[in-house]
Order: sequence, then C-alpha cells, then structure tokens
Amino acid sequence: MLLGLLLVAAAIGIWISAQNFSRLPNQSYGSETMPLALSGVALLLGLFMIVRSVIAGAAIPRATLPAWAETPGALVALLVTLALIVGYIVLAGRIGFVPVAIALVLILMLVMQVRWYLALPLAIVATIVVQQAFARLLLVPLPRSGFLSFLW
Amino acid sequence: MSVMIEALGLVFQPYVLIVIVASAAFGMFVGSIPGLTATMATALLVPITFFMDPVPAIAAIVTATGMAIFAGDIPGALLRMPGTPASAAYVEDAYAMTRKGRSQEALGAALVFSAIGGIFGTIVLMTASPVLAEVALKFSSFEYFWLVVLGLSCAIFVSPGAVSKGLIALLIGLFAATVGIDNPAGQPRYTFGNVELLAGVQFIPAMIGLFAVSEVLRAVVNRDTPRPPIPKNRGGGIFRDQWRNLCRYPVQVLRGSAFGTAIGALPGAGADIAAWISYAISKRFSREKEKFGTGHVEGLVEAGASNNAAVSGAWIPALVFGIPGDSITAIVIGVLYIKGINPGPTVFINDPQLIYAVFVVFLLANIIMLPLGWVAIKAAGTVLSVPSKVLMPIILLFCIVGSFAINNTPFGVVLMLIFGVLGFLMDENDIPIAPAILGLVLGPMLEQNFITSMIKADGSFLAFFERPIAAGLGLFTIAIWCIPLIVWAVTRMRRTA
Repeated sequence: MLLGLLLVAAAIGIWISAQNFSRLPNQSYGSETMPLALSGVALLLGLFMIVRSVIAGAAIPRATLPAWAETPGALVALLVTLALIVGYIVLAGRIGFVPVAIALVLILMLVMQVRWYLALPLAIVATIVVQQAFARLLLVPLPRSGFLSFLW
Repeated sequence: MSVMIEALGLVFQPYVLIVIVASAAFGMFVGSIPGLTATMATALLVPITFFMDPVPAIAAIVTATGMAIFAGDIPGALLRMPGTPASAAYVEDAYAMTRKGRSQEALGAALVFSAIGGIFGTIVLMTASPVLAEVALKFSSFEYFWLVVLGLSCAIFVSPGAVSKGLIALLIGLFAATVGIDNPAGQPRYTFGNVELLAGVQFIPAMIGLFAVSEVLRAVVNRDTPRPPIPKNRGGGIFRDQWRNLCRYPVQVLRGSAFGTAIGALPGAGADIAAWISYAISKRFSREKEKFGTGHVEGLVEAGASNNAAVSGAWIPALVFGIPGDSITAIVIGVLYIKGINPGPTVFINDPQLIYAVFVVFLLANIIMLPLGWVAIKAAGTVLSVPSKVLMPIILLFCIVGSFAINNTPFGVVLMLIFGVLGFLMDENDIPIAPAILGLVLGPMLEQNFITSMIKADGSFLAFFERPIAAGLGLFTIAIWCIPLIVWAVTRMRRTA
C-alpha cells in the first residue's frame, strides 16, 4: 500500500515536471514524451498496488522500522559511513587522496569493530596499494597531497 | 588457404604472443575491480598500440577486452557486485552459489561458457559475417524499439520477487536515464542547474552505488550479526564441474551462443540485452524454473555464453561495414584506421591476411582466457577468507576510486553515494536492483527509437507491427506480458468452477 502511494505521488510529480519540457518543432513528441510515458506507467502500477492491497484488506499504511534499527549503534554506524563518503567528496580535493583515504578506511574499520592496531596498518597499506594501482598504473589523476607527492 | 597460413604466421610470433598474455593479465586486473570497465582497459591501451604493428595492436585490445568482461563476473560472484550490466543478469545465482560453497563452480561456469560463447561468435564472424551484417542493417528503429522492450521485459520477469517490484526497479532506472541533455529536443531535464548532470547519469558510478555501496551499508548496519561464514569450497574444481554442466546443458550453451551472436551483431544492442534475454529464455524453458535465483547454474551457463558471444558478434558490423556497435569497437575501428586498415567490405579484398590474423587473435584471446581465468579464480578465492569487517572498508575505497576514475571528477563519487543509498533502500524493501541498471543503460536507446519510430509512423502505433521482424518481436514481447496473465486468469476460473 505504502509503495503504491509513493508511486502515485512520484507519477504526479514527474507529470507536473514534464509540463516544462518542450516538443520537437512541428511534432507531437519531444523531451516530455519519455517522462510522461513513465509517469503514466507509474500511475497505473501505483493504483494497481493500492487496489490490490485494499482488496487483500491491508491496513492503513504506517512506516515500520527494519530489524537492524533496533540494534544499538546501527543507525549511528550507517550515518557515520555516509558522512565518511561525504567527507571524502569535500576534503579529497583540498588535502589530497592519501590522507583522506587512510582516514576513511581507518574510521570505517573502527566502526566495523576492527581493533585499532590492526586497522591502522591495514588502512595505510590498502590506501597506498590503491593509490599506486590507480594513479601510477592506470594514470587516474587522484588528488595529490603536497607532502606525499613523491608517491605519484 | 595461403591467406590463412600467412595470417597464422602474423599471429604466431613471440612478440605477438607476449603482447596477448600481457594484455590478458592487464584486462583481468582492470575487469576484476568494481568500477573499472573493459572500455577503460581499451582506452588505456590505445596510446601503447601506437608503437605496435597492426596485428599485435589489435591483439592487445581484443584480448584485454574479452578478459576484462569475464573478470567482471569475479566480484559479481564473490561479493554480489557485478562488473558489467551484462553480468548483473546472473549475479543473484552466482552469488547464491558462492554462499553455498560453490564459488569455484560458479566462476568456472562463467569462465568456460564465456570462452565457448566467444569462440562460437568468432567462428560465425569468420564464416557468415557478411550475411549477418546484411540482416543486422535491416533493423530500423521499430525493430530496435521492440528489442529493447523485450530486454527490459525479460529483466522484470526473471528478477526474484514480485513482478510489480521488478517494474518499480525498472521505472527507477528509466527515470534516471531521462536526466541530462541527450534527449530528442536537446533540452536539459532534471539537471537542477548542475553542469555535470547535463551529460546524464553515468551508469558505472550508479551501478557501483546500487550494488557495491548498498552492500557495504548493509554490512555496516548488520555488523553485530554478520552473515554466516561461507562454507569451504565444495565440488570437483573449476573445470571438472563444467564438463558435467556442458553434458547436462548442451542446448542451453548452443542457444545462448547463437542468440548472443545474433543480438551482438546488431549495432548498439550488445551484450547487456543478450545476457538478459538469454537468462530469461533459459528460465522459461528450464525444467527447474523454481531453482533460478537460488544458486542454479543453468541460467549462468546460457547467459554467460550469450554475453561473450555478443562481444564477438559486435565485431561483425564493425569489420564488415565499419559501423561500431559499442564504444570498444569504435576505439578499435579508430586504431585500425591509424594502422592503415580501413574496415569495410574492401578490407576482405585489400588486406585479407590481416583480417584473418584478427580472426585468429579472437580465437586465441578466448582460449588463453581459460588458463589465466583459472589463475584469477584461484587468487580471487582468498577474498572470501577475509572477514567482512576488514573487506568492506577496502571495497568502499575501491568503489570511490572507481567512480572517480570514470570521468576523473568527484561528481562520480556523488552519484555513487546517491545510488548507494537508493540501492540500500530498494534492498530493504525487497525491490530487485538489476532491472534498474538495465533501465538506466537501455533508457536512452528506448526513448530514441520510440520517438524516431513515432515520427516516422506519424503517430500510428500500427506501424510498429508493419515490418515482419518488428511484428515478430512485438508479438513475442506482448506474449511475454500476456501469457502469465492468461495463465493466472485460467487458474482462477478453474478454482472458482
């Protein structure tokens, strides 16, 4: 039921946004054709799912938490992981790939409950191996760090 | 015959053979890293091929490509992170086999039947390419439209779980494909003023996000209750199991190879559609339909053969008419021109020994895949012994670098993150991920062919059934959608009666 309602809402949203797209000159088709077709299919599917749920006697939809959310710290671990990726996006260009990647792997290993004395060397070795493989062998221009430029 | 002997002389030289082995190892390395593609392996080899003669240059690219495409199956089978959209077709079965301690059988099947499919496609390329190329060129936008719809339909019906959820996944992929300026009117859609989104959603960062990052997020939230350890590998070994599979599924191997070659020969269609259609056909005609998606090797055998046969098939229009079917054949055509070989009908008259040497290279590339693939499978098996809590942070690092490497911009990492969260939410709600990938890959082709056809037909839907091949494909696609409905209605009527 909830998925059906979300689909109907998405279909309406896509349909409204598609009104801003133009057609090809002197044609009935253009940039809006595909979004309109998708909104039509989404609307039909959403309605079908709602009707099927109603016939099956489904209750009024309510959001339920997954089983893992009841584990202490799981949500925090998820948010920390997402924050680490955002941190990489923001910081790698400024202070370079190597220090940011080491920090990312190290913190994520600690989140995953790896002991720090194992996590630290693993994070350093993994980062250097990845940096050498991508930057040296495959010539991917990973962001350089001033004091670690000798690695490139 | 003398041309063939001359061609063999061009190939069987120490320098060419060393180039083949080295590029095979390079392709294996690139392909087995999530995010790095066969196209990237090809592009990286181009500057090196400037210093080579035509035969070793083509040998390097062809071998690296074939190897990278097979190697994409390795992270798919071991970690549920397919390297290519084509290997996403059978990733659930391959990963389920790994969870049952049959990773070597799964990867062995991917390896052996990829090689068989590739050799089949090469033999067709050598013997019947002009005829097939003529047929392929008769495909207009109407046929391509139905072919894409058929591929997408197969993705929905073979996905585990409810059809409605498969359709939701497909809609997500198709919607993501509408982003950007590459549409009929050339108008920016859903770019929100972002310049990088004008080029659309790159499918590699999206695929890394949907499959790999979502897997990392799942491991993070379940860190206190990790999955049970993968049992020690059972079975008779990488190759011995495959002899049994070959004896058990000869029709599937032949059918997958033939379909793969035929679909691959269509410019722009390629291995992605071929693998999905072959997997769906395998499931449809199997005596053990219920086992698909639970770690059954049959679909893997057929779709694996189809996948690589399509790669060989893509060379048919490329060599016969000089029409590239995908980015890899486009790069190779460029290399051929640089080397003074002009692909097209005249190449068979002007440089027959060179073109036959290229055919021999195709065969060698598929044969050498077997020993090198064996080494790669054995080496990759150690990944399974690394605890998840150590492996996942390192995988995330590979995901980030792989997403960055597509366009060398951090925007790839942003896309990876967005699709990672989306993939996690989809998985939490039992929505299959693979149809979303196929929707994203085939969305532009669907839109382009639909709108071109509608303009040509002046808005008449009947025109989609006026050409014989289009009508056949259209009716087949409609039947795929209607047959389950009819079966359901008949069963219901019988129950009420």
